Amino acid sequence: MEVTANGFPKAGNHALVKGLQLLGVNCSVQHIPFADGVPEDRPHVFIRRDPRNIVCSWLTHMGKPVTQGMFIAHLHKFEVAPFAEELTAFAGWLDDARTIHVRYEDLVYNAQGLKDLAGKLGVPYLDDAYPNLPGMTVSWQKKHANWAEIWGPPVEHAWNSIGGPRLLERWGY
Amino acid sequence: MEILVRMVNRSDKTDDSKYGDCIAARPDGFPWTQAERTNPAWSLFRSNLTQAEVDALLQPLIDAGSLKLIYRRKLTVDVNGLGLAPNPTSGAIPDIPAEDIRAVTSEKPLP
Repeated sequence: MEVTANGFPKAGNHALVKGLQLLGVNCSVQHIPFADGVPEDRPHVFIRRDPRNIVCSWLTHMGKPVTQGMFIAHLHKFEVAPFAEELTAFAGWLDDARTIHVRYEDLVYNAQGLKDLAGKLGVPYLDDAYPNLPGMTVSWQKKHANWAEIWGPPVEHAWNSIGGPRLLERWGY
Repeated sequence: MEILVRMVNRSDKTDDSKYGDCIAARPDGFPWTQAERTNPAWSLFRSNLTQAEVDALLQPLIDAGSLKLIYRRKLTVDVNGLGLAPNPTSGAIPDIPAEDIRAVTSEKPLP
């Protein structure tokens, strides 16, 4: 089976792809905004993650310290545009009925996420899949991003000013 | 997937090719060159690792700020721990289960 594995950058795309491959499903990492559409001849799996941890993970990925100032700066300019604007380009997938949705937190913290994903794809869950999910991907970090470690009044203020609470509600956090 | 791995350090330079670096990966049955099959600095093995894992084995470590190469490969495979012999590979390329590779693969410590 071949699927389109999609997600916003740093939402857990590499973990998703490895998880799918451990289930015997072929795919590669894709970052496809809703407006671009996806192939209709195969299932589309979309991963989402707490948007605050996406920003933290992006900082680590870019070799920058995860600090309050860095977090605030990257809310205003993420890769090429404000974070909320870039993330919102993917939000349409959240309502797409053809799309299979996966939460990063469900995928990496216990086996049930991968079991549920196998069920939705109609492939058998393989009992060595989840135990082999951690590590050995191009972006795996030993420590998961944790926004709470840098949260405080200045970050909260900046988060609120970019509409962060609405983002969390939209993305289910 | 068939994987070419380095069995000895090429030099003492930190950013040069090192023991345990996976150099290349190709589909099963790939026509490896004579050098890739016979140079004792390398060895070949076949494994059922996922493509995501193979991609990770081939990933360099680059300083995100300066974009300078730190290591040619971020991960190292302790091939001695696999009992893998240097080239020339006698007969067929050995099959090594993915779980054995995972068990001897680790991130290199930062210099």
